[in-house]
Amino acid sequence: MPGFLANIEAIKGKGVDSVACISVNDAFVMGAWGKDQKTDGKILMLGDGSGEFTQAMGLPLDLSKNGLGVRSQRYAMVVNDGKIEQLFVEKPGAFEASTAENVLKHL
Amino acid sequence: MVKVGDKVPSATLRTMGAEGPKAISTEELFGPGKKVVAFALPGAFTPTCSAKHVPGFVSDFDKIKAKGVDTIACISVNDAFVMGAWGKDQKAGDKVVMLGDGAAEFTNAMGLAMDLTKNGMGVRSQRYAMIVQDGVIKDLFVEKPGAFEVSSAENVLKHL
Repeated sequence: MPGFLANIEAIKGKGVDSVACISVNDAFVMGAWGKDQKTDGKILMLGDGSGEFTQAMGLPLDLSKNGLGVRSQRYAMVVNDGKIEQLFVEKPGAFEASTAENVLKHL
Repeated sequence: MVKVGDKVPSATLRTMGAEGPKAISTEELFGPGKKVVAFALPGAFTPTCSAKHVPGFVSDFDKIKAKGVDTIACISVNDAFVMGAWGKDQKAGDKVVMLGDGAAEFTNAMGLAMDLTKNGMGVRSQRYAMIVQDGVIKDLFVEKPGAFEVSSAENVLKHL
C-alpha cells in the first residue's frame, strides 16, 4: 500500500485513471484501513467481503487454518478498457511482481 | 444453536499480540474456574458495533468486573489484525479482549452464523452476548436481526 501511495503521481503520469486496492474485507474495514494508511482518496479502497470478485478472478487463497478464512492471493494488474493487459501474481509469501515499482515498469 | 446449559464449543480464536496474531482456545478462554462475559457482533468498524456495543462494555468494565467476571471478550468474524486495529480505535485497552474468528469456526460451532454474502460481507456472526461460568453457558442473549437490546452491557449486568 505505501508503495502505490508514494508512486501515485508517477502512475497517474502514465495515463492511469484509478489505482484500486482490493481485499476480502468489508467496506467498513477497508474504509478504516484507508484512513489509517492516509490514502486520502488517492487509492480506491474496495472491499470484496464475500470473495465474489476474488473467486471470479480465480485467485482466492484459503487461510482458514490461520483463522483468516478465504482471502485473496497477492497480485496486481493493469486493466485497460476492461481488459487485463498485465497480471502479476505473487508466489506464496512473496512481494515482488505486484509492487508499485514493478507495475510502473509495465505501464 | 447452543442453549443455556451447554458447554461452549471448542474452537480456536485469535487475538492480536505484540508479535502478531496469537491463537487462544475456547478451553483457555472460558476454562474451569472462570466467569466470562462474551459478546459477538457482525463486524469491526461497523456503525452499531462501534458506536454502542463495544463502548458499552468498555464503560461498564468496572461494574462488570465487580460482579466477579474474570474476562470480557468481544468476538467477530474478522481477522486478528482487524480486531487489533479496532480495539485500538475503540480504546478497548486491557478491558475488552478483542478476538478474531476470521474463518467463522467458533461462530459456526455456536450455530449463530448469519449470511451477509449479498451485502458483500460474507458469513458473519449474529449479535449476541453470553455469560459463561466454568465453560458452561449460563445466560445467552441473542438479538433479533437489526436489534440492539438484550446483548448490551446494561442488560448483561442485570443478569450477573
